[in-house]
Order: sequence, then C-alpha cells, then structure tokens
Amino acid sequence: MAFPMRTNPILYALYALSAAYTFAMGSFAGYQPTNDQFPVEEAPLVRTIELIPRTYGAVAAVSSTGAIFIHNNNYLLASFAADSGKMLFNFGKSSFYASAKSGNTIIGTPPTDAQQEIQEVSASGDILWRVPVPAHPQAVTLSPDGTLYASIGYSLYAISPSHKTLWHRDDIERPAPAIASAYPLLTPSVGLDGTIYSGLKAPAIAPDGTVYVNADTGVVLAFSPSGDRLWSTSVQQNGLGGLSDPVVGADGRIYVISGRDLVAISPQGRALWRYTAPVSSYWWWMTRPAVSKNRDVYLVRHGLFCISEDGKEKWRFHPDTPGEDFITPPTVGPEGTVYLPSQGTSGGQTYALSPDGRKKWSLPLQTYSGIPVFSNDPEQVWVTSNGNVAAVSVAQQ
Amino acid sequence: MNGRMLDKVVDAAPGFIVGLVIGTVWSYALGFVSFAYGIGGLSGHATPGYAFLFHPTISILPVAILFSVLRKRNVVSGILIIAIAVALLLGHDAQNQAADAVRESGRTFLSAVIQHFRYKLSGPHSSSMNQP
Repeated sequence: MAFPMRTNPILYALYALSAAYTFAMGSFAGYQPTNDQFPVEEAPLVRTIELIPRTYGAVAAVSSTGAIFIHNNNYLLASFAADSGKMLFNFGKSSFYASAKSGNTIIGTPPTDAQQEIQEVSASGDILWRVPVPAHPQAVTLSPDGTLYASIGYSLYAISPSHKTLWHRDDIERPAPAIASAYPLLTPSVGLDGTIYSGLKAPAIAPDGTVYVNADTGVVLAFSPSGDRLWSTSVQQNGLGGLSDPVVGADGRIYVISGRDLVAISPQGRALWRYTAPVSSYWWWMTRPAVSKNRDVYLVRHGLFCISEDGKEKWRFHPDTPGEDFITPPTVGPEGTVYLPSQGTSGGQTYALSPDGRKKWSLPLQTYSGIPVFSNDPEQVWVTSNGNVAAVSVAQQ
Repeated sequence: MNGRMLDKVVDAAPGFIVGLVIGTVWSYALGFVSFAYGIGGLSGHATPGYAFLFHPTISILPVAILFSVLRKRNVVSGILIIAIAVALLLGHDAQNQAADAVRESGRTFLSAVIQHFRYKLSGPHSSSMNQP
C-alpha cells in the first residue's frame, strides 16, 4: 500500500523550490552592497601626467613649487615635475612624513640607517635641515606653528621650528614587553590650542598566538604643548580591534576609530558618543576618520558612513561594484565634496560625493592605498593611476 | 487516526525509512565531494563547471527519479524529504552568510536580494561609472 499518487509530485515541486532557494542563497552569500546612483555631474577634466620612469605608489604631496612626491609601502620616495612628469630626485628608502608650507617635505632617513634623522628636503633633493633622533620615527606630524611631533617607539618627541628638541615623553604606557615592538604610537594629532593627541594601539597577538589586551593600551593620550600629560581615556571596548590615529575636528573634538566603532572625545578627555558601523566585526582596519568643516565625520569601513556631530548616521555610501572596498580615509575638499578612493581586485576608482551623499562622479583611477591629495590654485585632486599621476580638475563652475 | 489510515502508514513506513536512509547517506557522501571541490577552489585549482552536479541537492535527483521509475514511491518520498531538508538547511546557512552585508547595505533583505541578482544579470549600473 502506498501513499496517494499525488504525494510524489507535490514533494518533487517542493524539492524544486527548495533547490532553487539553495542555489539562489548560495549566490547571495557573496552579496556586497553597491550603490545604484547615477552620477549627477559630468566627468571632470582629467590630466594624466606620465611619470618618467613609471612609478607605482601613492601621491604623498603636491608642492606649491610644482613637484609631486610619490611614495609606496617599501619606503621608496621620489619627486617628479608636475608639468613634465620627469623624476626630479629619488630619495630611495625614505619615510615621507609631512608637507611643509615652503613646498618642501619632511622625511626620515631609511629605517635601517644607524643614524636616524628627520630632514626637510626640497623636491630636488637638497637637505635644508636635519635633526638627529634616537630611532626611526613611525610618524611625524607638523603643527601649524611649525613644531614637529614625532612618535618614536613609545616616546613622543616635540621638535621646535628651529629644529631643537623641546621635550620628549618616555613614560607612555605600553603593552607587554613581548609584543611591544608591534604596537608603537600612531600619528599624533595637534588640536586647536596646540594640545597633542596621540593613540596607542590596543590588543595584540604574540608570536605564540597568545592574545594580550593591555589595560594601558587602547587609550587616547593628551599632552600640553609644553609636554605635560593632561589626560588619557580608554576608548577600546570589544577586546580585539585596533585604534586608529586620532583626528581633531574644527570644534576641537577628537575622533578615533576602535575596531568598527567611531568614538568622539571632548577636548577635556570625556567620551561623548560612540557609533558602531553596521559591518562585520572582521573590519578592524585602522583607517583614521575624516572630518569636514560642517563637522560631519566620515568613517570608512568597507562602505563610507557619514556621521553627524551628535553621533547619528546621516547617510552611507557603497562602491559601484561588489569587488571594490573603501579602506582609505576620504579627502574632504573646501566646499565639502568628499573624494574617496576604492580598492578592488579588478581595479579601484576615485569617487566624488556631495556633502549629502550623492555621487557626483566616479572615475577608474586607482590610488594604490593612497589618499587623494587636494591642491588649490587651481583646485585639483591628485591620484596615482597605473604608474602615472592623474590630476582631476574639481574647481567649482 | 482510524484503523485504515494506520494500516497505510504501517505499510508505507519501511519504504519511507529506506528512502530517508538513502537520502541521508547520499547527502553526506556527496557533501564531502562538494567540500573537496571547495577545498580545491580555495587552493587555487579551478572548479570545473560540472561541479554543481555533485551538489547534494542536485545529485540526489537521479536517485529519486530511479526509484520513481521502479515505482517505489515511499522510498522516493523519503529521499525527497531528506533532499528538501538538506536544501533548506544549506540555503539558510548561505542566507546567514550574507547577513552582515545586508545589515551594512541598510536595505531590507528582499531589496538586497533584488540588488544582488540585478547586478548578476545586468552587470554594474550601465551609466554609474564615468569615463575620463
């Protein structure tokens, strides 16, 4: 005796539906959000400067004297003429730190050199001054008054505009000694009143796989211009996850990213709010945030999230294709346009977004993890593209 | 349940249980084959186009049809019940894998699914990218 004859056709139909569901979800498992926006502006004028020789890296700076500085992850740094693309000088294995108002750049000697120095160099390779330092700085920030702040190991150095060491702090908390070398200070940031903010990276994994979460890490530290320690506040919350460089907004607030959290800190060291990006917790990339003049904060975590000054999400933006990611912070132009590079397996793009999150344009210009560099007179955005440099004219009509 | 219905169930049970066993064993065995193709893909080997035929949900269909031809309908019912259960479990697992991306998109689940398949079918938004 069998079940009625209808049973099998019904089961076959259910089987077909469930199989279709399985394969549809199998494809959907690889879903990545994209934007469906049409560009609202015509593609801007792009001038391609063919570098001689062709050089793969990111635009570090474009000087007022007409020189482009290119650097890459192998500490290679070179300058090129912005008009002809010819190499002006190859600095070799040097660290690029900052652009000076003079059009020169602040660089560091190669990390392998016995004698470590911070130097100001011209595009043609002339060394204008040099300051010996005890070890290779991981980062140097140039304050508006010309003072240099350098993170060297777990010490913070202040160097005057006349190239004298003003002070250094060597009493910054550090992780367990076994892993200390992996967690140096990040790029310090200078506040409106000259206060220096610097962050320490948080948890660490030792070579033997042990995970340490040091109570003295995951903090933002504040020092006065004279080197006094003002406060420290812990922003790390969820164990694993790094701490980005701090960024100071126009209102003096400090913004830092811990894992997928954006944290706002008052100039007095009080955590004001915390925004958690709705992304996988695997997105721990330590990209610093960016702040616009209208106090919007931009958080890059695969997509771009625009957060208002009260910690509320205003909008989010995703790349054109699923193969692209946003992993570097955007550059915010003076009129509020957000210039944002994407990285992708089949090539990245450079996007321009209006302050309300609409796509102005996108161009297939890959920046090799570099941040678009904005220059005035005329207003242009500079990115590297396939070993060359592209200057995108973005002057408002 | 009256006596006649109970008789039907008792009569159908052996074949149905045989079908459940066949479906379970088949799904397990072919699951390992699919897993092996997946490992091969991860290690850089190209996955052949016919690999989907070894997917437990697909490969069990000829087995069910064979027993249908042999008029073993209860066995077929057991096999299809297992096939449906496996398909729903695998589909649900795959759906969960996209949960983070759906949350990140800010869209509803259905809207995200539509966006995904619209992209798969038509490629990137035809005029979403400017050319210099």
